Amino acid sequence: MQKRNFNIFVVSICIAITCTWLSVYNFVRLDINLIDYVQDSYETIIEGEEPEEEETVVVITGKVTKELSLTLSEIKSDKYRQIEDKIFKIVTQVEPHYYKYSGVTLWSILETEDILEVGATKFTFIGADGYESPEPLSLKDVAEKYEDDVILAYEKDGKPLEDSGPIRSVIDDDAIPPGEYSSQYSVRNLAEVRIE
Amino acid sequence: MNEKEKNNDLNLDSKNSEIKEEKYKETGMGLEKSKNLSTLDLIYSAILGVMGGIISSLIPFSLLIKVWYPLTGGTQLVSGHHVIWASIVYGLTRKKQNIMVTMSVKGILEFLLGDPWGLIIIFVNLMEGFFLALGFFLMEKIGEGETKLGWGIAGGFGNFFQAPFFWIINQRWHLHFTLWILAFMFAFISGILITGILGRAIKNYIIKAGVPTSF
Repeated sequence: MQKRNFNIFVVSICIAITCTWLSVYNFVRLDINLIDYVQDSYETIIEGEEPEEEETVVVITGKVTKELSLTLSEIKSDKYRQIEDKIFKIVTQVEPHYYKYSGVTLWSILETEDILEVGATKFTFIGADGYESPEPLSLKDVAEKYEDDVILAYEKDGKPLEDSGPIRSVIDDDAIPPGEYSSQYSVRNLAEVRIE
Repeated sequence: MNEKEKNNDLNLDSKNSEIKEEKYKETGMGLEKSKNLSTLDLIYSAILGVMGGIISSLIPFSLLIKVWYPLTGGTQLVSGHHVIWASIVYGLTRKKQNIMVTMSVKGILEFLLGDPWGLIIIFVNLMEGFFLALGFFLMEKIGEGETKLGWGIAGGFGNFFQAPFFWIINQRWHLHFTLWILAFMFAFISGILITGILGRAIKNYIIKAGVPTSF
């Protein structure tokens, strides 16, 4: 074998060993069973993938003509007004913070679906752990007047919400009545919007 | 012969001499060692660019890998097919501008067929073409312009840089660094095997089949 070909052969073997070793390292690290994975892949190809029903993430309840359950893809759909990468001022008892959120405006959902009963004037955010925002806020003076400042956020800094998601209510401090802190209305793991 | 006939003869002679003196410009295959692209070069670029654009857009070759290899970045193992068209064109024409023309055609077609990356896909194609041309240039400098090794390394060079580009703009920082290394290695290997060596073999068969080269 010529020296040149031998060198090419040695380099090829080194590359192959490196790729194999890195792959095996990741299979072990990520606890992947390659045989099961391949079997599942072929079953999916042969039998076809069953469409999974998407989970409801937020429900609008209370003084509404019908309870509205929203999935994440419905919340992200174009039929509602989407706010992208807007900077929100969130004030805590200590200091103001500025975060970039993307989400759908609450008012556009209520307006598009036309589900508000006569006499519905306020709304409250409720988290999956049962936490409720301190005071019910006015639909007209807050949700409608500051439409772009009251959102159900699904992204922070361009990335999906992790621990606080999939949805988090976010209200800019400008929309909050004096004496209240907007951080108390920024409810993580939002599960329900109650209309009163 | 009267005076009128004499004048006619003189006029004909002067016309014939003008025709003989007129210089014709050589075009197409008559041109040798020209740096300009000939009609044949452009035809090759158009045909292969369109084929590449359609195949890259409509055929999900990555599924061949996804079935048996679960790690992110494994699909880079077949990514070389995106650049093979440019290496075939280079084999037939030996002009590096042709690589750029072919990749432009391919990129524009992918964009028009609704590639999710939008206009970025045209830039990516041009980037791949540029690095492939650079790879061929470097290989020719070291005397490996005709060998499988030279074509392999040039192909690997051409296909490599799209991988870090996509991984960076996709912000895959959360993935372990070994997955990054694997993906980039796969991109290079795919470039060697598909863009370089397979491209060279196809080019040879095309020439053997009687398709004229333009160099």
